[in-house]
Order: sequence, then C-alpha cells, then structure tokens
Amino acid sequence: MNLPETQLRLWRPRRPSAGLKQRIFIARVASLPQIARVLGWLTPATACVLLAFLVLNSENTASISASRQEPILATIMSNQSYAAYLANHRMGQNDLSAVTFDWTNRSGSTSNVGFPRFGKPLN
Amino acid sequence: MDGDEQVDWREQLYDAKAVELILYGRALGLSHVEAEDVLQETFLALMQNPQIPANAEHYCVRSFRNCALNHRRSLWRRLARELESQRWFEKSSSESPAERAAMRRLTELPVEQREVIVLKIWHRYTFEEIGALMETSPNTAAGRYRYGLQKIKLRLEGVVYERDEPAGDTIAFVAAAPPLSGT
Repeated sequence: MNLPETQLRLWRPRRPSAGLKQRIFIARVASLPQIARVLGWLTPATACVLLAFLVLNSENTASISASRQEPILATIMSNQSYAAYLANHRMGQNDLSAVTFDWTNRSGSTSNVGFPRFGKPLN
Repeated sequence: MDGDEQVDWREQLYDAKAVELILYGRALGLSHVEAEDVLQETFLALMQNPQIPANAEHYCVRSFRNCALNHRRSLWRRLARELESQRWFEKSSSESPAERAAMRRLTELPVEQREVIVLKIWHRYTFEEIGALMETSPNTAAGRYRYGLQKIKLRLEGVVYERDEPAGDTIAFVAAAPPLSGT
C-alpha cells in the first residue's frame, strides 16, 4: 500500500508566535531560588524601615530636647521614690509647695465674732 | 553555571520541538492559542525540574500531552475552541486544493488517529514509542495510523465520500475500497 507519508512530511506545521519563547525564558526569573526572591524584596524593605526609623528618631530627639525632658527622665530612672513626688508636683492641687496660704498674710481677723472692748487695765 | 547549562538545554529543546508540539496540541484537540499556552506551561514546568531527564524529548512530549489533556477538559475552553478554525500548517504557494482538503481531513479525524499520525510523521516516533506514550499496544497504534492515513490519502486523491469511524483497538488495518475504474 502506498501511503502519502512523504507528501505529508512536506507540510510545515504552524510556528508558535514569536513572543512565546521570550515569555517562557524570561519567566525563568520566577524560578530563581527562594532565597534570591526573598532578598529581592527584603533588602529594599529593610532599607526603607531603617530610613524611616532614622528620620523619626531625629524628630523625636529634637522635640524632647526642646521640652527639656531628659533630666527629669534621668532623675526618675535613677531615683524611683522621686517619681511619686514628681507626679504630685505636676498635679497642681496636691502640690503643697505650690499652695499659698494667702489668708495667713492678712492683718485682720476674718472672724465675725465681736471681741469685747477692753478698758484700761485696773490698777 | 549549572543553571545556564540547563537553560541552554531547555532552549535547545524548545527550538527543536516547539513547532511539532504545537501541531501535536492541535491533534489533541487544542486551538493554536491553547497549544501555545500548554507549550508555555510545559516548559515552565521543565524549568522547575532540577534534573535533566534521561530522554528529554520524550519526557517533554509526555509532559505536553498530560498538560494538554488537562487543559482540554474545561467546557468553556471547548466552546471557545469551536469558534477558532485556524490552520494547522503554514500556507504554501504550491499547495493544491486537494492538499488543502487533505489537511482539513487530518483535522477532522478522530483524536486518537490524528494523534498517532502527528507523532509518527512529524515527531518521527516509532509505533512502540507511540504505544508507550498513549498506553496502548504498538499494533493498535499502527492500526490507527494506517486507518487515518488512508482517509487522508483518499482526500488527496479527490475522494470525499468516506466517513469517520473510530478505529477499533484490535483492527490493524481496514483497507478502503479502491475507487471504481471505468470498465
């Protein structure tokens, strides 16, 4: 039997599109080892976090020094009993040193009870 | 270094087999675009494989076949495929109408017949290799091949009245009746 194999071999199959090979072999980047892929995003992310930390830290330092908080904080840290005093000191109404007893400075009595007038002492 | 060698190996394999695999995808019932998708899927899977298989070409064809059969199962894809009627072969200026009809006939053959024909003619597989790939006997593969090729031959000769019947697994070859000669 004479089958047309030779004739069929002359038929050229359609080629895949030109971009297909590129798509496959460029996509091999996705098949890099896991560590390389993790480092690919971890390194810039770490750099961003460090940069943000540095910026925020410098701003905090400036504001703290402006309000002169460091000596107080240092005192609290070194002397725990002073912390209670300091808390009261900041709260106004409980600060004994801040209370002024104005009425003690007046010359006259505030009492409405009359005092008898004394005459000249008897001899 | 090793990675570069592997990429070279795969690229060489792609250059050698891509065209034939696209045709094989068509024989398995995929559209041209689907065959390209499956080809891409197959090679991306090869990229993940750190070991070079013993028979790389056969391994590649088998992977392609598995991917294609999985791909073909989707109903939506099957419907979309019906709308596509692109050619399986490059256009040739020397192509006769009978040849065009024969090409069309190949596309209309039952899947198992055209699969064997494509593997035998364009992939140059032996019947033993085809049988191993399709999990059937070499004789069955040979029967499907001859049966399908006979239909194409009839179309090449201008005969258009034959009908499709799936080749029985045990039938080695059924000779078509020769055209009536004027006596």
